[in-house]
Amino acid sequence: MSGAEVIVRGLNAVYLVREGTIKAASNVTLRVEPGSVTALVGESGSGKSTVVEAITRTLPSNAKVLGGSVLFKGVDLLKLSEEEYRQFRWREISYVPQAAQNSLNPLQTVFEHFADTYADVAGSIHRSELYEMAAKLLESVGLDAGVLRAYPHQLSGGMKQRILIALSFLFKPSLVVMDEPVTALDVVNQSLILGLISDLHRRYGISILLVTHDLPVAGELADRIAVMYAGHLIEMGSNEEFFEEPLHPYSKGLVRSMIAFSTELSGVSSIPGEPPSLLNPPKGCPFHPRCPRAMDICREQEPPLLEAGGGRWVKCWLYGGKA
Amino acid sequence: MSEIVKLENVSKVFRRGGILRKESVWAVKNASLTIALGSRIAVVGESGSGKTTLARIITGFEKPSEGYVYWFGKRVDELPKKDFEKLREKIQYVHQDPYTSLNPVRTVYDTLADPLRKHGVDNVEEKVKELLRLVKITPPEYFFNKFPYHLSGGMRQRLAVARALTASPQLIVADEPISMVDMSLRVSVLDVLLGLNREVGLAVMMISHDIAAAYYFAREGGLLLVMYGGRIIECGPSEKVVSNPFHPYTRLLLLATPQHKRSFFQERISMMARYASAKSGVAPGTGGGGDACPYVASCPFAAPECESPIELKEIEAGHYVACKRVDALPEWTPPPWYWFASKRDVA
Amino acid sequence: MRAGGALRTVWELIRPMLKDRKSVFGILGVLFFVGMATIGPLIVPLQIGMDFSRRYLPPSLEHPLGTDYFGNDIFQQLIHGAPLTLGLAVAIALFATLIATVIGVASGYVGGGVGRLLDFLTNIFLTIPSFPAMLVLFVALGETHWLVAAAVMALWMWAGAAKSIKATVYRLRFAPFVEAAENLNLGTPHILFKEIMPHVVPYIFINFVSSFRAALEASVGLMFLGALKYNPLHWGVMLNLAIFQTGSIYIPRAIHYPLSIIAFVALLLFFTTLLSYGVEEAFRPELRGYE
Repeated sequence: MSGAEVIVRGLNAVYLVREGTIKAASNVTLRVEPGSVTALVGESGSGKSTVVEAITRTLPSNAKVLGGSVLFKGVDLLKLSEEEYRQFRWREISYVPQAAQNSLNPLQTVFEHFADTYADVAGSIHRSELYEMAAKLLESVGLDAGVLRAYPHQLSGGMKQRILIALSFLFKPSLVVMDEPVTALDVVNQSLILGLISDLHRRYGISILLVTHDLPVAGELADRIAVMYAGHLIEMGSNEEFFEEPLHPYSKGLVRSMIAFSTELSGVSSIPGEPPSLLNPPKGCPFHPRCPRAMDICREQEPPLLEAGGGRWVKCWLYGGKA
Repeated sequence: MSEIVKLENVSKVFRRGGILRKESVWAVKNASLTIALGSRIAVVGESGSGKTTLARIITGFEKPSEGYVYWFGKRVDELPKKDFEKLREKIQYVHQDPYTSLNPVRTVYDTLADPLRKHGVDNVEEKVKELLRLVKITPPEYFFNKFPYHLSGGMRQRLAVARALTASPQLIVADEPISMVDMSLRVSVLDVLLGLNREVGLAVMMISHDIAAAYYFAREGGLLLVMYGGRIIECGPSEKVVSNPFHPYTRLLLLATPQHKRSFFQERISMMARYASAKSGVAPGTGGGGDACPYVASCPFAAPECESPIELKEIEAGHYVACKRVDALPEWTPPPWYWFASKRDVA
Repeated sequence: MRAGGALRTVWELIRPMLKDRKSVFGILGVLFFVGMATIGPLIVPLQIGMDFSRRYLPPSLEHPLGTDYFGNDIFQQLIHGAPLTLGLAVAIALFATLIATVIGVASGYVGGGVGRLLDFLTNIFLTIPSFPAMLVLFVALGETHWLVAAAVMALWMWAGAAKSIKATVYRLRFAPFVEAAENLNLGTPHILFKEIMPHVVPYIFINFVSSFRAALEASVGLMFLGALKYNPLHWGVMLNLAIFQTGSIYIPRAIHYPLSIIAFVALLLFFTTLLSYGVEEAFRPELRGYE
């Protein structure tokens, strides 16, 4: 197994609802480097789920992709038909969705889940062969093979999450997308699962796109951090550089609002103001109403994604780009 | 009367089950604590630890199965209905979910004006503006006819706090006030609560599963309580508990809290492993009703003496812990990622 | 301020329904019949006589739906029968909704013995089949004033609504915002009317519309079977006359007579059903598909 690269370029997606059009993703460009753990960080309404749904082709029926591409192994995933994408699902790209513990079928044993997934993707296989495969996978996530015979309700949240991670490795994909993999767990289990993800990454070198709203979690695991706000990708860069000196004013505010034992708590503060409505986002840069350094151009024009040196990207007029 | 609420050996059991099989769940066992005027307390625990039940007993939404609750020195179970209602106003409970704790069909103005009118306040509009400013919802007039769905989670939570203030309470119990609020807005909610405590002199108790947030809230003069399996297992000044924890569960909780530096991740996990057993990470079931330590099943340091009743004992000035194996634990040094790791004399 | 508030609430109730084609269609259809019942009789005169030479005339410009056994214009009769037919159904629906609201709210809010008693009562009326019961009752009671008849019929239509109202009130009784209101001692009247009732109003509205539909079916049916006090204007009675008294259903050229009546009843029921769906979907968003 090795990691593949994913490049999202200029993704524009909206949701059509009764009240209007929700601009969920506006011109989103981001890159998951091969073999890296890239954290996609964003709060509610940031659009990170939309980006994930576009990559994994799980957009709901009222979503429309207006433009952009998702390049993976030389193919634009957005342009594939459902049939064509099936070749990638599970085999090349696997997806552990949010609150995935609830997506396990209560009427099937764990083994049956493996069997179903295998059948869906690769057709039939000898039962004992699959059993061995599944047992090995479970072992790699720290579970006993006996779990294969259990039903979901007999297992704890942490165990279910490990099973889903094991399932996602069934076909040794080159990209695993994990959406909030630890949010629904207790603190101890969270750390154990994070440790597991880190182990698996080190062992197999696959690319991982980790979507989370929890900045400390991103900090502990990710090689690179990408931040989204109000449907825009506003900063991307290496982990340490990001925390050392966040570039975008929103990123600065976000890092400053972190409550963790690793930061000096007398210096924390919230970002003033409220996140914007995606039905009627502000003109120009979406952050300008709350930005302490907003300039006139910020209120008028959406800034371009600018290179800030050393593989860092930021979408902000403060860093150049003016005509 | 400097005591607002006093709990004396309070326990609460929930009985479930049908005709044949009755199941008893002791959500809280042998809890004793005093909340004084102007005090600040953070209660930390995971789901199932009994922290919410404790909060609801304190605010009168649950009756204890054992033990006594005192409000301003009076036994709550002996209060006549009128007195109960009058005193209850002074102890306000703020719910965890700001999406259901505000009535979606009432405007911001109505939400605050209704209780103000009920208490015979003269200039309702002025008072509403004052309260909104107090919780940093400004400009107040702009929000008068907005509905809760127009507000973000952080703002809704602050509105819920403003509503609690309409009764001029002495104590506010905030149950998980920030768990449903975006990270960049959490500090504003906590700061409002801190402001009410430091500047207005209200007693505030905060319940949380996040020990870092609890520490932020209770530092510099506040008390930190740790709950597990329905029991209070450690309590003391916030700085002492966080920099010198004695209970193995408290240590596990502290080590399990994510910090943001990648360089410390592996070390954090391996330090945590020393306090986690094979059974760790299984949700702490609430105790079976006995007085033994509820952490026995998950504790890597458990020994036969843990089956005997535990109680809180003072281990250093003002710092209490309920654990029989305190002396058997490895030495504790503040983990290297603590920002004050170099400052050993914080406590 | 108050009037404006009430108007705004009505508008808030109606607006969601205008967004769906089905319900707009239903609203327009029902409005047409309501118009027929209210203004119709004022515009269209009623000429009742006996002119057998004009018996069973087919539909024409002069007689849009033709004439009946006595040579009287069917369209005129239907128009003049509309107020009674619709009025009776509205009265029944009003009574039913009132009973459902009172019992539903009471059993949802008051717990304990009273609540359980009301639940029991609701279940009884829910399980007894309404139409046979009404039939038996009216045959036993004989001729009664139409308001009394409406009340009796309403007795068999409140139970389902009461259950859903009770469920809503019961659920909200323990809602966090109600707890907060208790914490602040806002008092039972405030909690009931200002906090809980606004959530119940949509259900009351939904149930009024579906009670109206059920009442229409029941009253036309009972009038048709002759179980209620005779009134030749009522469409049910007209249908009875058309089929049983004059036997027009057996006469091919007279088929327009019973058919017109049936068509009117069926159309009104159809539009009312559409309206009912529209109202339900407007206030219970979970029933909508993706837009």
